[in-house]
Amino acid sequence: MNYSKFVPFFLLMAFSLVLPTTIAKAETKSVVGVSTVYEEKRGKEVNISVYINGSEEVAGGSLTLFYDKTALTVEDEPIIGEELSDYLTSVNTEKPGKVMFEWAKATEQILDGTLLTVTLELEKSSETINLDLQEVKLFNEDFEPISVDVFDGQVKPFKGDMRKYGTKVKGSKEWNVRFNKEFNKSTVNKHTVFVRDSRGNVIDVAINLSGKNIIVVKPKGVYEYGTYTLEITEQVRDLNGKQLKEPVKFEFSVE
Amino acid sequence: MVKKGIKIVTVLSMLFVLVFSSKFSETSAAADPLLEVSSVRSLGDTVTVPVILRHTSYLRHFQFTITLPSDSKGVSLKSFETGDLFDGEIFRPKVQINGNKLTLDFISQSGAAERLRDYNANEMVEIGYITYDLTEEFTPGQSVPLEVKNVVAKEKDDEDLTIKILNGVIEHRMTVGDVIGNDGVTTTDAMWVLQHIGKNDISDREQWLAADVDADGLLTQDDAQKILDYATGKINTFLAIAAQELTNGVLQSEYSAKIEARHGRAPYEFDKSGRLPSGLELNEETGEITGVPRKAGEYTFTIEVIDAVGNEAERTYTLNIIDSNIISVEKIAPINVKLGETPVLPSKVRVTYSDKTTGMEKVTWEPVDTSTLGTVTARGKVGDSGFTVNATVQVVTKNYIHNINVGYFEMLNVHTIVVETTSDVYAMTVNDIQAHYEGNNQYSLASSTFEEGTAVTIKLFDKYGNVLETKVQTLTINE
Repeated sequence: MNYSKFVPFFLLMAFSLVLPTTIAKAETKSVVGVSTVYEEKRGKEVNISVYINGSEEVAGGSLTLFYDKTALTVEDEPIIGEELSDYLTSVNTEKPGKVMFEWAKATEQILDGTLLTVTLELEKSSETINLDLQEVKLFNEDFEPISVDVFDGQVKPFKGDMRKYGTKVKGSKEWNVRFNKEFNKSTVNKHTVFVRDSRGNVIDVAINLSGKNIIVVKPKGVYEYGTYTLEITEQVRDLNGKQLKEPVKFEFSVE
Repeated sequence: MVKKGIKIVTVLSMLFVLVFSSKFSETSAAADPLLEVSSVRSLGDTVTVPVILRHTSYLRHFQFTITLPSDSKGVSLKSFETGDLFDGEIFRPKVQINGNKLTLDFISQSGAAERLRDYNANEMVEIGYITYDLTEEFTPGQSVPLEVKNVVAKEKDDEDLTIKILNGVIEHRMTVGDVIGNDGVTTTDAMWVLQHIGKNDISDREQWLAADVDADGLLTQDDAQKILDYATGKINTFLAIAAQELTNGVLQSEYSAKIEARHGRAPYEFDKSGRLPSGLELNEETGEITGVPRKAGEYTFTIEVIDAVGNEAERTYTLNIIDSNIISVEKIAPINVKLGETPVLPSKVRVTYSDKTTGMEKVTWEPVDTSTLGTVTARGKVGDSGFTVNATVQVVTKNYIHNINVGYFEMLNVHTIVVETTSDVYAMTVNDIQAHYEGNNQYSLASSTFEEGTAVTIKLFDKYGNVLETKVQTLTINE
């Protein structure tokens, strides 16, 4: 790492004590979650991703994603995540209000990434719409169930911490994001920590963990000239399963 | 020998394509109201039976009973759980359980007829689920009917609603697709299928049939995919047309073949699209194709099947009608062969010539791939006639017959057949006559109808009634 170009920036965030999701020792379990998306305009399309961070090898699994059918409609055939390229899959969106998904393979492997991305159209504006994962089951190749923590998501207006970095940065800029508590590494992924350009396109970044409470975000290539936003959803959780108090959008400009 | 100078028009192989239809909802839209008590299988100690109302527009009041036969053993009614519409929100339920008699009475909460389509666009609403306890008295292969009686149904303006009834069945068998026995088709069943493709280690015939959900006689990824699709609800049936190869037909000679539906709810209704050979007809109730072909050529057609609840499946065939001096060939019984071994196929077959005389013709068999468990078709050419003959070859993990002894009591003019089998065998027939179980995996039958030198057909069954092996045995006294 070229530390001469490293400009440290520390973002301090408090984990919420208000949302008492009780999940003990989450890091010992596999995690399956659905992303939270901040959007409030009726008619807008949102991409919802179901992700997995497996602590054990998985040969098959199933889940059902429930949503308010009066507030969201499925637009296109869901996209199966690359993590499952070696698996047979089946996804059913025919019944409004739920997406049923199953995957299977003869042998097991560690899964870490996106399982499924669903494009939905927002039918209501300025509402919080819950995305609930139910009946989430993972199995190893001996058909034994694997212990899993499940994190639900939402589609809702952004009501969080918005910050702006005043100085232009180089295209290779790395950001260090420090939390005030140790976080659950399973909840840090490209769906909870990501960078968008000024058009809203998600930029390919590497997310690395440093120590117990620092995330390092850097571009896989270099940022081009322009304005970007580093976003962190409240789905990043601490070891007790508590979410961030509020999501963060951190805007910076590249010279 | 085949007579010379006979013009052979064509001999081509047949193609098979299996396609699941997506026309179910279109077809069912115009169907009559139907109360369906499901046909279910279980190997566990309970079983849940869905009760479904289909194709019904309006409903105000609905009452009926579901009963078990009084002499049914090992099956007892445990509970009933109402479906979403019938749990009090839209219809007020009254559920009575009296022994093995279930009486259901639903009346709309509003007092007016409810438009059911408002609640389910698929024209199918779940009235509820009956749970039955199963004990050891309900033995493998057994089944009990669930009969619907005393139906009263009212629709708009309190008019009587005529509803077709489809009685239910509980079978002590493995659920199709549920090869692990979860009492439900799940992703683990798909995993199991994927783990056994190409491994050739399935000796349980019932499990094999439950895994081959597309009924093509082979275990493939397609079976696992369909299990996943069933688990997510993308498909709601494993209805399929069993794969088979149709033998060539002969011009101006009787032809007969039977298309079989699997994994759906009988009775079935068959239909065709495309052109059957002129002179052949499809029996829409039985799936038999019979008649006398009037024109030689290659014909491609699709057979469609619709089951009693409106599910559909289809398969496409190409059938060749040839011109030959042989008008028929004896049917060859299915043959079992152990994995990797060469099946013993007859070197000659009895044929009937166009002048009604009979004779024996040499058969040249194509190589048969026995490297994978399942069903394959052996194809042979009869002499140089252009006529082909097929034999169904079951590739299995073991020989189910250890020994066959044929004896003869001259005083009584009775032949005895004694067959020693493996422990997989639970029943045996000889020419469809049930044999006696003598204990120690031995079956016997004595009959004065058998004659020395003639062939009899021995069938072995597993505990679920599946045919394990069919063997044609010439009666030659050896004891």
